[in-house]
Amino acid sequence: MTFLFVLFCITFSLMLFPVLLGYYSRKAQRQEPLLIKSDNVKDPRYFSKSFRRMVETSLKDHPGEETLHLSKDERLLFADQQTFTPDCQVDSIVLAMNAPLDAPAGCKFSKEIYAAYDVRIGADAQIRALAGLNDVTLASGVQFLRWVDAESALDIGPSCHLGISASAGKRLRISKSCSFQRLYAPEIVIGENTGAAVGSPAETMQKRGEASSKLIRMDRVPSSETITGSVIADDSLVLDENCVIHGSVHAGKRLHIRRGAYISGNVISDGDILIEENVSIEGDVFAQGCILVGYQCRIGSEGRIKSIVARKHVSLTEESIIFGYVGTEARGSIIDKDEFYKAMGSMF
Amino acid sequence: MVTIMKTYFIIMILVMLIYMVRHIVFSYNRLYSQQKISCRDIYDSDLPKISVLLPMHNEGKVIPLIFKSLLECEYDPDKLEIIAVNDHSTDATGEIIDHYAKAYPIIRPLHRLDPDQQRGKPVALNDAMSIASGEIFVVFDADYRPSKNLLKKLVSAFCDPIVGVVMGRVIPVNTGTNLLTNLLNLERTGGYQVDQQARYNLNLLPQYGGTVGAFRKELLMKDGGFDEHILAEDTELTYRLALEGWRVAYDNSAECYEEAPETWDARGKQVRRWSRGHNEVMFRYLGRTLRSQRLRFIQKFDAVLLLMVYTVPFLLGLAFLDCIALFFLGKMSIIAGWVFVLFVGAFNAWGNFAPFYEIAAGALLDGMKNEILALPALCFSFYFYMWNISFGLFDALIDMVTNRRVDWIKTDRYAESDPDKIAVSNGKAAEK
Repeated sequence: MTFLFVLFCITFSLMLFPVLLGYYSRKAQRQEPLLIKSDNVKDPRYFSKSFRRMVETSLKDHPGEETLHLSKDERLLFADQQTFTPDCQVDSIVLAMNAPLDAPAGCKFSKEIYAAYDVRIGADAQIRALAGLNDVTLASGVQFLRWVDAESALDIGPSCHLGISASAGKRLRISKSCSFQRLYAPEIVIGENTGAAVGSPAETMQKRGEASSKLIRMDRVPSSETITGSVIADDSLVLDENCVIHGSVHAGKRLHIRRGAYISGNVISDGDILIEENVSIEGDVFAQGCILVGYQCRIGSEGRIKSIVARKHVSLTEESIIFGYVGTEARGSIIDKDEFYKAMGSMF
Repeated sequence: MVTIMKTYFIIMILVMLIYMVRHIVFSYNRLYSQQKISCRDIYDSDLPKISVLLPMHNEGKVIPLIFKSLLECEYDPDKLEIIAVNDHSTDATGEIIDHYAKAYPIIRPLHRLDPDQQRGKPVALNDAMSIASGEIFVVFDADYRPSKNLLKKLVSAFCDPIVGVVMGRVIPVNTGTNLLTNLLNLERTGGYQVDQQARYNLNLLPQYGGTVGAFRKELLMKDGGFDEHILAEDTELTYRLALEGWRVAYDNSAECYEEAPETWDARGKQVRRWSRGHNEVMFRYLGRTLRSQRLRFIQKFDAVLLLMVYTVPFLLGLAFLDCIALFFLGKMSIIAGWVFVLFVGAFNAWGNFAPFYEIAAGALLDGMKNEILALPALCFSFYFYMWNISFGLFDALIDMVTNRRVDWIKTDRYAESDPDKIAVSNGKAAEK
């Protein structure tokens, strides 16, 4: 009996110990709920808007000062009274308030630039971030550490590195060999030509039909076939040439959209997405893998915002047009036709 | 008899080992594997019209908070309506709803006051859905506080045509109140940050939890809405849609505060109700899940394990008694041989390491430091849950055998409508 009593006491103590330990440990420290940023709102131009707000508030509160009061005090350089020489080094925040800003080739700006008028940045310049309240033009090889934004049009020369985000209020044109992480503009033109051959809106409208929520399971849509409903594949899916889908598309693995296809809805894949030339997609394109967009493609339509989002690499080929947003957790790049065929070969 | 007892004991050890492996796989996946992204990063100017459904019974204490949060949400007002259902409330719920509806036209009141009407969440939701005009229905309980971008995040999931239902993450707002709310905070962290996200990553079956979630109108309406005779309408919807080939999405960033129960009595009732409802779904869907042609083997296997989560604690309790009986009968000769390894593994699986893996992994991902100190006390709540879940299982069995009507039992609320309480709480967390 004594043995059983001792056994019971030991077992009970062993069970009670962790409870008491937990109870007293928690009492020693104040517990707080996990923080949810309740006011957080998504905005693809957030960096620029936030910076502009801080600058404008500081200028209003402390007019005439040569220091800008942001999260810490920053030295100011008024570009209107300054001529930049090639390969110059600037370590202050640059404000161009009364005239266009011209930065010659090779300049290094280790802080942000705020420009109220047009901005032209020379070749191979290095800039932390740039907020332009009008048009911004970048020559070749310009490198951004953080972001660049233009209130109107952003024109990006070849081989630029665009940091985390490049955005524009109206139009963004981006040239070959540029790398990026996020692009945003109501109209994004890839390459030098705006792509006369890109499926025109009129043509698109003709193809546009009644979208349907019906799910159709198949792993290949034959060429020139028209389907009303969303096409679903548990594994890989191929949409052959010139097929028309009045609905969305989902592939459980990789998705191959061949030339001339038209999709009125969204295109989603749990793997990679390859979009060949002259394809028109009116909805969003989303992949857990890579996305490769061929030349003369049209994603989205005028006046509406749509997205291309991938967890891995996004490659966009010249002569395509996108209405809205491009984002990747890896890197994005602009390629030409030859590179597109090479990438297509290695992808599939 | 002894052979049966020994066989049962060994079977339960194996069952617990399976659950333990599942917990380890999920924890490993969250900590070390590549994570799936959700559609929340999509910017789309053509989001669909949505109806937010708020079923409420005696929620006068908390209604202003949820209305305030929803009215501040970032969503095109022309594509948003809020249907507030007053389900036989005896407090000021009806008056408060009418007051807000007068001030804000997007709030549409629906009063269910006929004493002959059945009451409860599924019935209230069905009535709300019958008048709702949105393509997507978003459901919140009255004690939830959605953040500004929550609606957009949830609705973005429907860009994928195969997604039928989406679930967001629940975070207790009153975590510091007492030991119980501390423990619930840890459970939620393990359950959402690790378990739900891992299931989403691995293409298994994340669970729609009945609140902070959304689903397509047409999928519900074609079957006549929610089953009004079931308590766990959320679990039933998860399995119904999964077996039809629809996907359940989970968005870990679609976070929403909830008020966790603050008394053991309220928590016990809540768990018993969940167990009752979940087991009703288990009786109905276990066979169908095993026979499903839509689910792959691994999806089916995990779906069955998920269906059994409110059955296993009772079976485990029996295994404890079985173990004690075998010990006193002198038949517990498992120390010798390979069974010992299983025994040790299973001991660690029940009540000890299994939930610890996920909670510890979740706490690490969430950056919790102080909160994790309460972890050892989970040992107590394990037995507390086993007790209440077992009663819930008996309730479900009796429901099935007698075909009796199921009455809805509401969880008690604690907060008064004081938005500053949350603001202060958030402020402290931000400072931290």
